[in-house]
Amino acid sequence: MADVKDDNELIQACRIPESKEYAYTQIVKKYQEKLYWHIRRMVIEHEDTNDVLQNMFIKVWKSIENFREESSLYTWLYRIATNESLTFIEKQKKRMAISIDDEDRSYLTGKLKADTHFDASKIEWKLQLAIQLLPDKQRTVFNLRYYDEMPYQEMSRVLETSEGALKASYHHAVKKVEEYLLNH
Amino acid sequence: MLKINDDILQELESISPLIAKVPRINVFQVPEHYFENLSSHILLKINVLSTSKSVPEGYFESLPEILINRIRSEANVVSIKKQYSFLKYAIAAVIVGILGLNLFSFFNQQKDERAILLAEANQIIKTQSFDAVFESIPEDEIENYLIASGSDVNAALVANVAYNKELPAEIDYLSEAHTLDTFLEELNIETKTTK
Repeated sequence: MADVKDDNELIQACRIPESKEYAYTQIVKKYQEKLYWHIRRMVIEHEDTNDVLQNMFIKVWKSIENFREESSLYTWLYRIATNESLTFIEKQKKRMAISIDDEDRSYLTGKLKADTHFDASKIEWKLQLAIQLLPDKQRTVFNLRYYDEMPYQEMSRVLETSEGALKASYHHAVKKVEEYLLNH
Repeated sequence: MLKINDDILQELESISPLIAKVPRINVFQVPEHYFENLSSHILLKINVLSTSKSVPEGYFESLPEILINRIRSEANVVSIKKQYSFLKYAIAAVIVGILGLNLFSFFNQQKDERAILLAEANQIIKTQSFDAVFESIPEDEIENYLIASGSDVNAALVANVAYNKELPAEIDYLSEAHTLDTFLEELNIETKTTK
């Protein structure tokens, strides 16, 4: 079988039963690392990331045949990954009897501090702590912009939010992170 | 250290020169060879899920009837205390396929929308109005009622969560044919202990 790498070709191939598995595997291989790191920065632990990533790709398998090409595959995958990560966090908080409206971010900072490589004296870990203290939306925007270097136009499609609102959200997030770093 | 795109860096410098100077280091570790086998693991999981989905034809379509018969056959269900009415309602919602959709949309709602929904759920618990509504509807019309009263179903599900009764996820139904049976058995145990 010819090697197909273009997203549109892969999507088309997924709609044909004989080539679905091959094309789907190409999609997973192409996006797995980007999506892994996006999810990892949201849910922190590797095991949780693995669960979320696998479940999101299972959803992709189930629904790719009906994928409407109004957005790019990349945008669609990021949207699913973001929603799955946020849903996972809400479920975890519920299990731990933490209020959905609770702004205490100890759930995520706790996970971060439990990492065997955690070192509070290092600026990169302080930065991570500051990011986990952000509200979910700002944290998502910060991660997508700072780490994934996503253009606002693309992010607007992923988060279904206006570019102006995203720029404002990123600005607030950066300022909050800065404040944390100056005080810790 | 990860290289940063010039546009992103310029924007960052304009907002916070301090953060722009922080080395962009990935602090997280990933197990060796993790990505090499990921697609195979996912495909294996998909195959397991698709083969375990082979419940008898029409099983899910007939579940509302099975559920109602099970409820009727349990004499003590009549005396279920009010919190289990929520649960019963929520199970029925699962049967007609509403749960996954609504919980998913619940978590994706804006905060203020979720707050309204939670307030509605709390009001239902407080006034026990849901019990009265539930009791007033013939059981064989539950399915129609659920479909027709979407917002109440949302609130009932959230109210149910408030009682810490986690419902099985959609994926559990696909991977384990006895999920519902197990869950109903648990419910019966719970109802017996609440007498």
